[in-house]
Amino acid sequence: MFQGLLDFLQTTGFALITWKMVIMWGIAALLLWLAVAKGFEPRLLVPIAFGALIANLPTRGVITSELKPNGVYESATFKIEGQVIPHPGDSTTPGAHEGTTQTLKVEKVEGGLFDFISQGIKLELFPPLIFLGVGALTDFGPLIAMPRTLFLGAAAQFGLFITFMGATFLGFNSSEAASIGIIGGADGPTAIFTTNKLAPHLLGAVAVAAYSYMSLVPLIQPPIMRLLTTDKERRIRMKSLRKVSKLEKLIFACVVMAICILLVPDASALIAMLMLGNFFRECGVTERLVLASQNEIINVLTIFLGTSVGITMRADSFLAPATIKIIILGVIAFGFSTAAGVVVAKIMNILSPKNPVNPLIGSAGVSAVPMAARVSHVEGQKYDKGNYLMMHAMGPNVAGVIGTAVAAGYFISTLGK
Amino acid sequence: MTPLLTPGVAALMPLATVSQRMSFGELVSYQLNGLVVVFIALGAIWMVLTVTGSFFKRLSPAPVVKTALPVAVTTPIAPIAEAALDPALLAVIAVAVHVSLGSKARVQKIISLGAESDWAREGRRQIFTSHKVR
Repeated sequence: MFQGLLDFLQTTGFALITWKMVIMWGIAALLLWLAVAKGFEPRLLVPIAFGALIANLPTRGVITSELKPNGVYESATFKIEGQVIPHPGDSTTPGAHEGTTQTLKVEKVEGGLFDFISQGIKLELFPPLIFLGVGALTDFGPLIAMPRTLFLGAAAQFGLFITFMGATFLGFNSSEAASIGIIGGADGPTAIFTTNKLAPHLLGAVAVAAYSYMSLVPLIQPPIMRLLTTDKERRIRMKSLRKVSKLEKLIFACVVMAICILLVPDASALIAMLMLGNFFRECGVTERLVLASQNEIINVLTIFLGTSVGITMRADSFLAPATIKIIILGVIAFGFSTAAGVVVAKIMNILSPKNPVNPLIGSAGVSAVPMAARVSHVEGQKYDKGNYLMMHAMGPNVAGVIGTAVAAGYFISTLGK
Repeated sequence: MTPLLTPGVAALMPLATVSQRMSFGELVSYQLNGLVVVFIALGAIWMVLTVTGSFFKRLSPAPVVKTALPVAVTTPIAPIAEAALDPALLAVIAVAVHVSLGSKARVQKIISLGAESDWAREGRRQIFTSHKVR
Protein backbone atom coordinates (compact mmCIF):
# COMPACT_ATOMS: atom_id res chain seq x y z
CA MET A 1 0.00 0.00 0.00
CA PHE A 2 2.82 2.37 0.88
CA GLN A 3 4.49 1.61 -2.43
CA GLY A 4 1.21 2.38 -4.18
CA LEU A 5 1.08 5.79 -2.54
CA LEU A 6 4.68 6.47 -3.51
CA ASP A 7 3.94 5.47 -7.09
CA PHE A 8 0.96 7.81 -7.12
CA LEU A 9 3.03 10.71 -5.69
CA GLN A 10 5.42 10.38 -8.57
CA THR A 11 2.59 11.11 -10.97
CA THR A 12 1.67 14.35 -9.18
CA GLY A 13 3.11 17.74 -10.03
CA PHE A 14 4.89 18.35 -6.71
CA ALA A 15 8.13 16.83 -7.93
CA LEU A 16 8.16 19.21 -10.91
CA ILE A 17 7.99 22.48 -8.95
CA THR A 18 11.12 24.64 -9.21
CA TRP A 19 12.19 27.74 -7.29
CA LYS A 20 11.74 29.84 -10.45
CA MET A 21 8.10 28.77 -10.60
CA VAL A 22 7.60 29.95 -7.02
CA ILE A 23 9.02 33.37 -7.95
CA MET A 24 6.62 33.54 -10.87
CA TRP A 25 3.73 32.76 -8.52
CA GLY A 26 4.75 35.85 -6.58
CA ILE A 27 4.86 37.93 -9.78
CA ALA A 28 1.46 36.63 -10.85
CA ALA A 29 0.09 37.47 -7.39
CA LEU A 30 1.53 40.99 -7.68
CA LEU A 31 -0.10 41.51 -11.09
CA LEU A 32 -3.42 40.23 -9.74
CA TRP A 33 -3.17 42.60 -6.79
CA LEU A 34 -2.41 45.53 -9.09
CA ALA A 35 -5.34 44.60 -11.30
CA VAL A 36 -7.94 43.75 -8.66
CA ALA A 37 -7.03 45.98 -5.71
CA LYS A 38 -5.54 48.93 -7.56
CA GLY A 39 -7.58 48.77 -10.76
CA PHE A 40 -4.60 48.62 -13.17
CA GLU A 41 -6.17 47.69 -16.51
CA PRO A 42 -7.96 44.75 -14.91
CA ARG A 43 -9.57 43.52 -18.13
CA LEU A 44 -6.14 42.59 -19.45
CA LEU A 45 -3.95 42.14 -16.41
CA VAL A 46 -6.27 39.61 -14.74
CA PRO A 47 -6.19 37.12 -17.65
CA ILE A 48 -2.47 37.80 -18.23
CA ALA A 49 -1.63 37.19 -14.57
CA PHE A 50 -3.81 34.08 -14.44
CA GLY A 51 -2.18 32.79 -17.60
CA ALA A 52 1.22 33.39 -16.02
CA LEU A 53 0.14 31.37 -13.00
CA ILE A 54 -1.03 28.51 -15.23
CA ALA A 55 2.24 28.65 -17.20
CA ASN A 56 4.22 28.16 -14.01
CA LEU A 57 2.34 25.20 -12.66
CA PRO A 58 3.17 21.65 -13.80
CA THR A 59 0.08 21.33 -15.94
CA ARG A 60 -0.82 18.59 -18.37
CA GLY A 61 -3.08 19.07 -21.32
CA VAL A 62 -2.94 22.87 -21.14
CA ILE A 63 0.14 24.04 -23.00
CA THR A 64 3.08 22.39 -24.73
CA SER A 65 6.51 23.99 -24.67
CA GLU A 66 9.67 22.74 -26.27
CA LEU A 67 13.19 24.10 -26.04
CA LYS A 68 14.61 24.91 -29.46
CA PRO A 69 18.33 24.54 -30.30
CA ASN A 70 18.72 28.33 -30.12
CA GLY A 71 17.76 28.24 -26.45
CA VAL A 72 14.32 29.80 -26.96
CA TYR A 73 11.19 28.06 -25.72
CA GLU A 74 8.52 27.64 -28.35
CA SER A 75 5.10 27.16 -26.86
CA ALA A 76 1.61 26.49 -28.24
CA THR A 77 2.54 23.74 -30.66
CA PHE A 78 0.34 20.79 -31.46
CA LYS A 79 0.81 17.61 -33.45
CA ILE A 80 -1.28 16.28 -36.28
CA GLU A 81 -0.97 12.67 -37.36
CA GLY A 82 -2.40 11.71 -40.66
CA GLN A 83 -2.01 9.76 -43.82
CA VAL A 84 -1.56 11.15 -47.30
CA ILE A 85 -4.23 9.67 -49.50
CA PRO A 86 -2.80 9.14 -52.99
CA HIS A 87 -4.95 10.19 -55.93
CA PRO A 88 -5.64 7.49 -58.53
CA GLY A 89 -3.07 7.54 -61.33
CA ASP A 90 -0.69 10.02 -59.69
CA SER A 91 2.21 7.63 -59.05
CA THR A 92 2.75 6.65 -62.69
CA THR A 93 2.86 10.11 -64.24
CA PRO A 94 6.38 11.65 -64.19
CA GLY A 95 6.51 14.90 -62.26
CA ALA A 96 2.96 14.38 -61.07
CA HIS A 97 3.85 15.50 -57.47
CA GLU A 98 5.09 18.89 -58.54
CA GLY A 99 2.38 21.52 -57.94
CA THR A 100 -0.35 18.96 -57.31
CA THR A 101 -2.54 19.03 -54.24
CA GLN A 102 -2.62 16.08 -51.94
CA THR A 103 -5.28 14.92 -49.54
CA LEU A 104 -4.31 14.39 -45.92
CA LYS A 105 -6.54 12.26 -43.76
CA VAL A 106 -6.12 13.52 -40.20
CA GLU A 107 -6.25 10.68 -37.72
CA LYS A 108 -5.11 12.28 -34.52
CA VAL A 109 -4.60 15.82 -33.19
CA GLU A 110 -2.55 16.15 -30.00
CA GLY A 111 -2.32 19.32 -28.03
CA GLY A 112 -3.39 21.10 -24.89
CA LEU A 113 -6.18 23.65 -24.42
CA PHE A 114 -3.98 26.66 -24.95
CA ASP A 115 -1.99 25.04 -27.74
CA PHE A 116 -5.11 25.64 -29.81
CA ILE A 117 -6.35 28.89 -28.24
CA SER A 118 -2.89 30.46 -28.56
CA GLN A 119 -3.04 29.91 -32.30
CA GLY A 120 -5.12 33.08 -32.26
CA ILE A 121 -1.95 34.98 -31.41
CA LYS A 122 0.42 32.89 -33.51
CA LEU A 123 -1.81 33.23 -36.56
CA GLU A 124 -2.30 36.94 -35.79
CA LEU A 125 -6.05 36.69 -35.46
CA PHE A 126 -6.70 38.12 -32.01
CA PRO A 127 -5.10 41.60 -32.27
CA PRO A 128 -6.84 42.60 -35.52
CA LEU A 129 -10.18 41.25 -34.27
CA ILE A 130 -9.79 43.22 -31.05
CA PHE A 131 -9.13 46.26 -33.24
CA LEU A 132 -12.54 45.59 -34.82
CA GLY A 133 -14.03 46.19 -31.39
CA VAL A 134 -11.78 49.21 -30.80
CA GLY A 135 -12.96 50.77 -34.05
CA ALA A 136 -16.59 50.14 -33.10
CA LEU A 137 -16.02 51.85 -29.75
CA THR A 138 -14.07 54.86 -31.06
CA ASP A 139 -15.56 58.17 -32.15
CA PHE A 140 -13.20 59.84 -34.63
CA GLY A 141 -15.38 62.97 -34.71
CA PRO A 142 -13.00 65.18 -32.65
CA LEU A 143 -10.12 64.19 -34.91
CA ILE A 144 -12.08 64.93 -38.09
CA ALA A 145 -13.20 68.29 -36.68
CA MET A 146 -9.59 69.27 -35.92
CA PRO A 147 -7.36 67.41 -38.38
CA ARG A 148 -4.11 69.06 -37.29
CA THR A 149 -4.20 66.97 -34.12
CA LEU A 150 -3.11 64.11 -36.38
CA PHE A 151 0.40 65.56 -36.11
CA LEU A 152 0.23 65.26 -32.32
CA GLY A 153 -0.58 61.58 -32.76
CA ALA A 154 2.36 61.28 -35.16
CA ALA A 155 4.68 63.14 -32.78
CA ALA A 156 3.87 60.73 -29.97
CA GLN A 157 5.43 57.92 -32.03
CA PHE A 158 8.78 59.62 -31.46
CA GLY A 159 9.07 57.67 -28.22
CA LEU A 160 8.94 54.40 -30.14
CA PHE A 161 11.93 55.28 -32.23
CA ILE A 162 13.99 56.70 -29.36
CA THR A 163 13.36 53.52 -27.38
CA PHE A 164 14.37 51.46 -30.40
CA MET A 165 17.78 53.12 -30.24
CA GLY A 166 18.00 52.64 -26.49
CA ALA A 167 17.12 48.96 -26.79
CA THR A 168 19.76 48.50 -29.48
CA PHE A 169 22.40 50.05 -27.23
CA LEU A 170 21.37 47.64 -24.46
CA GLY A 171 22.16 44.67 -26.65
CA PHE A 172 18.82 43.79 -28.25
CA ASN A 173 18.78 43.09 -31.97
CA SER A 174 16.64 45.21 -34.29
CA SER A 175 13.56 42.99 -34.20
CA GLU A 176 13.60 42.83 -30.42
CA ALA A 177 14.22 46.58 -30.19
CA ALA A 178 11.20 47.27 -32.41
CA SER A 179 8.99 45.05 -30.23
CA ILE A 180 10.17 46.94 -27.14
CA GLY A 181 9.85 50.34 -28.78
CA ILE A 182 6.22 49.71 -29.71
CA ILE A 183 5.40 49.76 -25.98
CA GLY A 184 5.69 53.54 -26.23
CA GLY A 185 2.64 53.58 -28.47
CA ALA A 186 0.56 52.45 -25.48
CA ASP A 187 -1.47 50.17 -27.70
CA GLY A 188 -1.81 46.61 -26.42
CA PRO A 189 -3.08 44.80 -29.55
CA THR A 190 -0.52 46.55 -31.76
CA ALA A 191 2.29 45.69 -29.34
CA ILE A 192 1.23 42.03 -29.30
CA PHE A 193 0.80 41.97 -33.10
CA THR A 194 4.27 43.44 -33.66
CA THR A 195 6.05 41.37 -31.03
CA ASN A 196 4.48 38.15 -32.28
CA LYS A 197 5.86 38.85 -35.75
CA LEU A 198 9.29 40.16 -34.80
CA ALA A 199 10.26 38.74 -31.40
CA PRO A 200 7.69 36.20 -30.13
CA HIS A 201 9.97 35.11 -27.28
CA LEU A 202 9.53 38.59 -25.73
CA LEU A 203 5.72 38.50 -25.93
CA GLY A 204 5.08 37.99 -22.23
CA ALA A 205 7.38 40.74 -21.02
CA VAL A 206 6.28 43.24 -23.68
CA ALA A 207 2.57 42.64 -23.01
CA VAL A 208 2.95 43.00 -19.25
CA ALA A 209 5.00 46.17 -19.68
CA ALA A 210 2.58 47.64 -22.23
CA TYR A 211 -0.59 47.04 -20.21
CA SER A 212 1.00 48.01 -16.90
CA TYR A 213 2.21 51.32 -18.25
CA MET A 214 -1.11 51.99 -19.95
CA SER A 215 -2.70 51.91 -16.54
CA LEU A 216 0.08 54.11 -15.13
CA VAL A 217 -0.58 56.89 -17.65
CA PRO A 218 -2.19 59.13 -14.97
CA LEU A 219 1.01 58.81 -12.93
CA ILE A 220 3.67 58.97 -15.65
CA GLN A 221 2.33 61.76 -17.83
CA PRO A 222 1.40 64.71 -15.55
CA PRO A 223 4.94 65.48 -14.28
CA ILE A 224 6.24 65.52 -17.86
CA MET A 225 3.35 67.72 -18.98
CA ARG A 226 4.00 70.22 -16.17
CA LEU A 227 7.73 70.24 -16.86
CA LEU A 228 7.30 71.17 -20.50
CA THR A 229 4.49 73.73 -20.30
CA THR A 230 4.10 77.16 -18.75
CA ASP A 231 1.18 78.22 -16.62
CA LYS A 232 -0.11 80.44 -19.43
CA GLU A 233 0.02 77.59 -21.94
CA ARG A 234 -1.92 75.25 -19.67
CA ARG A 235 -4.74 77.80 -19.49
CA ILE A 236 -5.18 78.10 -23.27
CA ARG A 237 -8.80 77.66 -24.22
CA MET A 238 -9.39 76.15 -27.62
CA LYS A 239 -12.18 76.92 -30.07
CA SER A 240 -15.21 74.69 -29.93
CA LEU A 241 -15.19 71.75 -32.30
CA ARG A 242 -17.55 71.86 -35.27
CA LYS A 243 -20.20 69.23 -35.78
CA VAL A 244 -19.02 66.37 -37.99
CA SER A 245 -21.54 64.75 -40.31
CA LYS A 246 -22.09 61.03 -40.71
CA LEU A 247 -20.87 61.12 -44.32
CA GLU A 248 -17.56 62.65 -43.24
CA LYS A 249 -17.01 59.87 -40.73
CA LEU A 250 -17.76 57.22 -43.34
CA ILE A 251 -15.40 58.83 -45.85
CA PHE A 252 -12.77 59.10 -43.11
CA ALA A 253 -12.89 55.34 -42.43
CA CYS A 254 -12.41 54.43 -46.09
CA VAL A 255 -9.76 57.06 -46.81
CA VAL A 256 -7.64 56.25 -43.75
CA MET A 257 -7.74 52.56 -44.57
CA ALA A 258 -6.69 53.17 -48.17
CA ILE A 259 -3.85 55.56 -47.31
CA CYS A 260 -2.39 53.44 -44.52
CA ILE A 261 -2.59 50.17 -46.42
CA LEU A 262 -1.01 51.71 -49.51
CA LEU A 263 1.83 53.14 -47.43
CA VAL A 264 2.43 50.24 -45.03
CA PRO A 265 0.74 47.06 -46.30
CA ASP A 266 2.06 45.12 -43.31
CA ALA A 267 -0.31 47.07 -41.08
CA SER A 268 -3.28 46.07 -43.25
CA ALA A 269 -4.85 43.66 -40.78
CA LEU A 270 -4.87 46.16 -37.93
CA ILE A 271 -5.96 49.20 -39.93
CA ALA A 272 -8.58 47.36 -41.97
CA MET A 273 -10.29 45.88 -38.91
CA LEU A 274 -10.10 49.19 -37.03
CA MET A 275 -11.81 51.01 -39.86
CA LEU A 276 -14.31 48.21 -40.48
CA GLY A 277 -15.42 48.42 -36.86
CA ASN A 278 -15.65 52.19 -37.13
CA PHE A 279 -17.65 51.96 -40.35
CA PHE A 280 -20.09 49.61 -38.63
CA ARG A 281 -20.48 52.18 -35.87
CA GLU A 282 -20.93 55.23 -38.07
CA CYS A 283 -23.13 53.86 -40.85
CA GLY A 284 -26.01 53.42 -38.40
CA VAL A 285 -27.55 50.45 -40.21
CA THR A 286 -25.55 47.65 -38.63
CA GLU A 287 -26.61 48.05 -35.03
CA ARG A 288 -26.36 44.37 -34.14
CA LEU A 289 -22.87 44.13 -35.64
CA VAL A 290 -21.82 47.18 -33.67
CA LEU A 291 -23.17 45.74 -30.44
CA ALA A 292 -21.44 42.43 -31.10
CA SER A 293 -18.13 44.15 -31.92
CA GLN A 294 -18.29 46.42 -28.87
CA ASN A 295 -19.27 43.66 -26.47
CA GLU A 296 -19.17 39.95 -27.21
CA ILE A 297 -16.34 39.90 -29.75
CA ILE A 298 -13.96 42.18 -27.91
CA ASN A 299 -14.72 40.65 -24.50
CA VAL A 300 -14.27 37.03 -25.59
CA LEU A 301 -11.09 37.82 -27.47
CA THR A 302 -9.74 39.82 -24.55
CA ILE A 303 -10.06 36.72 -22.37
CA PHE A 304 -8.31 34.48 -24.89
CA LEU A 305 -5.64 37.04 -25.79
CA GLY A 306 -4.83 37.85 -22.18
CA THR A 307 -4.55 34.26 -21.04
CA SER A 308 -2.58 33.25 -24.14
CA VAL A 309 -0.11 36.07 -23.52
CA GLY A 310 0.16 35.14 -19.86
CA ILE A 311 0.80 31.52 -20.79
CA THR A 312 4.00 32.61 -22.53
CA MET A 313 5.39 33.90 -19.23
CA ARG A 314 7.25 30.75 -18.31
CA ALA A 315 9.80 31.24 -15.56
CA ASP A 316 12.67 30.18 -17.82
CA SER A 317 11.98 32.92 -20.34
CA PHE A 318 10.47 35.64 -18.13
CA LEU A 319 13.02 35.63 -15.31
CA ALA A 320 15.82 36.98 -17.44
CA PRO A 321 17.79 40.27 -17.45
CA ALA A 322 15.99 41.14 -20.67
CA THR A 323 12.69 41.47 -18.77
CA ILE A 324 14.09 44.14 -16.44
CA LYS A 325 15.51 46.02 -19.42
CA ILE A 326 12.13 45.85 -21.19
CA ILE A 327 10.34 47.24 -18.15
CA ILE A 328 12.80 50.13 -17.89
CA LEU A 329 12.74 50.83 -21.61
CA GLY A 330 8.94 50.75 -21.56
CA VAL A 331 8.71 53.69 -19.20
CA ILE A 332 11.33 55.55 -21.26
CA ALA A 333 9.20 54.97 -24.37
CA PHE A 334 6.13 56.37 -22.62
CA GLY A 335 7.98 59.37 -21.32
CA PHE A 336 9.44 60.34 -24.67
CA SER A 337 6.12 59.84 -26.45
CA THR A 338 4.40 62.14 -23.96
CA ALA A 339 7.13 64.76 -24.20
CA ALA A 340 7.21 64.71 -28.00
CA GLY A 341 3.47 65.26 -28.25
CA VAL A 342 3.63 68.27 -25.90
CA VAL A 343 6.63 69.77 -27.70
CA VAL A 344 5.01 69.45 -31.14
CA ALA A 345 1.87 71.12 -29.79
CA LYS A 346 4.05 74.05 -28.65
CA ILE A 347 5.66 74.19 -32.09
CA MET A 348 2.20 74.25 -33.68
CA ASN A 349 1.37 77.29 -31.54
CA ILE A 350 4.48 79.07 -32.79
CA LEU A 351 3.49 78.36 -36.38
CA SER A 352 -0.19 79.16 -35.88
CA PRO A 353 -0.47 81.71 -33.04
CA LYS A 354 -3.97 82.88 -33.99
CA ASN A 355 -5.51 79.47 -33.37
CA PRO A 356 -3.52 78.02 -30.49
CA VAL A 357 -3.61 74.47 -29.25
CA ASN A 358 -3.40 73.75 -25.54
CA PRO A 359 -0.10 71.82 -25.30
CA LEU A 360 -1.58 69.57 -22.64
CA ILE A 361 -3.51 67.72 -25.34
CA GLY A 362 -0.22 66.83 -27.03
CA SER A 363 0.41 64.18 -24.40
CA ALA A 364 -2.82 62.46 -25.45
CA GLY A 365 -1.08 61.30 -28.63
CA VAL A 366 -0.24 58.04 -26.90
CA SER A 367 -2.87 55.50 -27.83
CA ALA A 368 -4.23 54.82 -24.34
CA VAL A 369 -7.81 55.72 -25.31
CA PRO A 370 -9.49 57.47 -23.50
CA MET A 371 -7.27 57.55 -20.44
CA ALA A 372 -4.63 59.83 -21.94
CA ALA A 373 -7.31 62.28 -23.08
CA ARG A 374 -8.79 62.25 -19.61
CA VAL A 375 -5.37 63.00 -18.10
CA SER A 376 -5.04 66.05 -20.37
CA HIS A 377 -8.50 67.21 -19.36
CA VAL A 378 -7.86 66.76 -15.64
CA GLU A 379 -4.53 68.59 -15.83
CA GLY A 380 -6.14 71.46 -17.68
CA GLN A 381 -8.90 71.66 -15.08
CA LYS A 382 -6.33 72.12 -12.33
CA TYR A 383 -5.35 75.48 -13.84
CA ASP A 384 -8.69 76.57 -15.28
CA LYS A 385 -11.89 74.98 -14.01
CA GLY A 386 -13.82 76.22 -17.02
CA ASN A 387 -11.45 74.70 -19.58
CA TYR A 388 -12.88 71.47 -21.03
CA LEU A 389 -10.14 69.75 -22.96
CA MET A 390 -11.60 66.24 -23.07
CA MET A 391 -13.04 66.31 -26.59
CA HIS A 392 -10.08 68.25 -27.97
CA ALA A 393 -7.70 65.69 -26.47
CA MET A 394 -9.65 62.82 -28.05
CA GLY A 395 -8.38 64.00 -31.45
CA PRO A 396 -4.69 63.24 -30.84
CA ASN A 397 -5.64 60.28 -28.68
CA VAL A 398 -7.34 58.41 -31.53
CA ALA A 399 -4.76 59.72 -34.03
CA GLY A 400 -2.18 57.95 -31.90
CA VAL A 401 -3.92 54.62 -32.53
CA ILE A 402 -3.50 55.12 -36.28
CA GLY A 403 0.07 56.41 -35.84
CA THR A 404 1.12 53.42 -33.75
CA ALA A 405 -0.36 51.02 -36.29
CA VAL A 406 1.57 52.78 -39.08
CA ALA A 407 4.79 52.63 -37.03
CA ALA A 408 4.18 48.93 -36.40
CA GLY A 409 3.70 48.40 -40.14
CA TYR A 410 7.00 50.18 -40.80
CA PHE A 411 8.86 47.96 -38.33
CA ILE A 412 7.31 44.76 -39.67
CA SER A 413 7.88 45.65 -43.32
CA THR A 414 11.55 46.50 -42.74
CA LEU A 415 12.47 43.94 -40.10
CA GLY A 416 10.08 41.05 -40.75
CA LYS A 417 11.43 38.00 -42.53
CA MET B 1 -1.68 44.10 -64.92
CA THR B 2 1.67 45.87 -64.95
CA PRO B 3 2.67 47.04 -61.47
CA LEU B 4 3.61 50.69 -61.06
CA LEU B 5 6.92 49.70 -59.45
CA THR B 6 9.07 48.54 -62.37
CA PRO B 7 12.45 46.88 -61.72
CA GLY B 8 14.17 50.09 -62.78
CA VAL B 9 12.34 52.15 -60.19
CA ALA B 10 12.72 49.46 -57.53
CA ALA B 11 16.49 49.46 -58.03
CA LEU B 12 16.59 53.10 -56.94
CA MET B 13 14.82 52.37 -53.69
CA PRO B 14 16.59 51.05 -50.59
CA LEU B 15 16.18 47.41 -49.67
CA ALA B 16 13.00 46.62 -47.75
CA THR B 17 14.89 44.73 -45.05
CA VAL B 18 17.55 46.04 -42.69
CA SER B 19 20.21 44.20 -40.72
CA GLN B 20 19.61 43.02 -37.19
CA ARG B 21 22.72 44.86 -35.94
CA MET B 22 22.98 48.41 -37.23
CA SER B 23 25.71 50.96 -36.87
CA PHE B 24 24.89 54.26 -35.15
CA GLY B 25 24.48 56.06 -38.45
CA GLU B 26 22.19 53.34 -39.79
CA LEU B 27 20.18 53.48 -36.57
CA VAL B 28 19.63 57.22 -36.79
CA SER B 29 18.73 56.96 -40.46
CA TYR B 30 16.31 54.11 -39.75
CA GLN B 31 14.55 56.06 -36.99
CA LEU B 32 14.26 59.17 -39.11
CA ASN B 33 12.82 57.13 -41.98
CA GLY B 34 10.28 55.63 -39.62
CA LEU B 35 9.20 59.02 -38.29
CA VAL B 36 8.96 60.35 -41.83
CA VAL B 37 6.73 57.40 -42.83
CA VAL B 38 4.42 58.04 -39.87
CA PHE B 39 4.25 61.76 -40.63
CA ILE B 40 3.62 61.10 -44.33
CA ALA B 41 0.75 58.74 -43.51
CA LEU B 42 -0.89 61.06 -41.01
CA GLY B 43 -0.05 64.10 -43.11
CA ALA B 44 -1.84 62.57 -46.08
CA ILE B 45 -4.87 61.89 -43.89
CA TRP B 46 -4.67 65.49 -42.62
CA MET B 47 -4.71 66.83 -46.20
CA VAL B 48 -7.74 64.74 -47.11
CA LEU B 49 -9.59 65.75 -43.93
CA THR B 50 -8.78 69.43 -44.47
CA VAL B 51 -10.14 69.33 -48.02
CA THR B 52 -13.25 67.35 -47.16
CA GLY B 53 -13.75 69.41 -44.02
CA SER B 54 -13.77 72.69 -45.93
CA PHE B 55 -16.15 71.13 -48.48
CA PHE B 56 -18.57 69.99 -45.79
CA LYS B 57 -18.32 73.30 -43.93
CA ARG B 58 -19.51 75.07 -47.07
CA LEU B 59 -22.36 72.61 -47.45
CA SER B 60 -23.64 72.97 -43.90
CA PRO B 61 -26.22 75.78 -43.36
CA ALA B 62 -25.03 79.06 -41.87
CA PRO B 63 -25.73 79.35 -38.15
CA VAL B 64 -28.86 81.32 -37.32
CA VAL B 65 -27.97 84.73 -35.94
CA LYS B 66 -30.11 85.50 -32.93
CA THR B 67 -31.35 89.05 -32.87
CA ALA B 68 -33.06 90.75 -30.00
CA LEU B 69 -36.74 90.96 -30.85
CA PRO B 70 -38.82 93.74 -29.30
CA VAL B 71 -41.07 91.72 -27.07
CA ALA B 72 -42.82 92.61 -23.94
CA VAL B 73 -41.21 91.52 -20.75
CA THR B 74 -42.86 88.32 -19.81
CA THR B 75 -43.98 87.81 -16.31
CA PRO B 76 -42.07 85.08 -14.50
CA ILE B 77 -43.89 81.83 -14.11
CA ALA B 78 -45.60 81.91 -10.81
CA PRO B 79 -44.91 79.06 -8.51
CA ILE B 80 -47.64 76.51 -8.64
CA ALA B 81 -49.81 76.71 -5.61
CA GLU B 82 -49.52 73.68 -3.44
CA ALA B 83 -53.25 73.08 -3.74
CA ALA B 84 -52.94 72.62 -7.52
CA LEU B 85 -50.43 69.78 -7.25
CA ASP B 86 -51.37 66.19 -6.85
CA PRO B 87 -50.82 65.38 -3.14
CA ALA B 88 -49.16 62.12 -4.12
CA LEU B 89 -46.61 64.03 -6.19
CA LEU B 90 -45.95 66.37 -3.27
CA ALA B 91 -45.35 63.38 -1.02
CA VAL B 92 -42.91 61.82 -3.49
CA ILE B 93 -40.96 65.07 -3.82
CA ALA B 94 -40.81 65.48 -0.04
CA VAL B 95 -39.57 61.92 0.45
CA ALA B 96 -36.93 62.34 -2.27
CA VAL B 97 -35.67 65.55 -0.65
CA HIS B 98 -35.59 63.90 2.78
CA VAL B 99 -33.69 60.85 1.53
CA SER B 100 -31.11 62.81 -0.44
CA LEU B 101 -30.64 65.89 1.76
CA GLY B 102 -31.63 64.72 5.20
CA SER B 103 -34.24 65.74 7.75
CA LYS B 104 -33.04 69.34 8.03
CA ALA B 105 -33.98 70.13 4.40
CA ARG B 106 -37.35 71.79 3.76
CA VAL B 107 -39.23 72.22 0.45
CA GLN B 108 -39.90 75.94 0.10
CA LYS B 109 -41.17 76.25 -3.47
CA ILE B 110 -42.17 74.00 -6.36
CA ILE B 111 -42.04 75.49 -9.89
CA SER B 112 -43.20 73.77 -13.06
CA LEU B 113 -40.62 73.78 -15.90
CA GLY B 114 -43.25 74.01 -18.59
CA ALA B 115 -45.02 71.75 -21.03
CA GLU B 116 -42.00 69.83 -22.39
CA SER B 117 -41.52 66.49 -20.76
CA ASP B 118 -38.20 66.05 -19.02
CA TRP B 119 -38.50 62.32 -19.35
CA ALA B 120 -37.73 62.49 -23.05
CA ARG B 121 -34.66 64.57 -22.30
CA GLU B 122 -33.53 62.15 -19.59
CA GLY B 123 -34.04 59.21 -21.92
CA ARG B 124 -31.87 60.82 -24.56
CA ARG B 125 -29.18 61.55 -21.98
CA GLN B 126 -29.10 57.92 -20.86
CA ILE B 127 -28.80 56.63 -24.41
CA PHE B 128 -25.99 59.02 -25.34
CA THR B 129 -23.98 58.29 -22.20
CA SER B 130 -24.37 54.53 -22.62
CA HIS B 131 -21.86 54.51 -25.49
CA LYS B 132 -18.59 54.49 -23.63
CA VAL B 133 -15.28 54.89 -25.43
CA ARG B 134 -12.59 52.37 -24.46
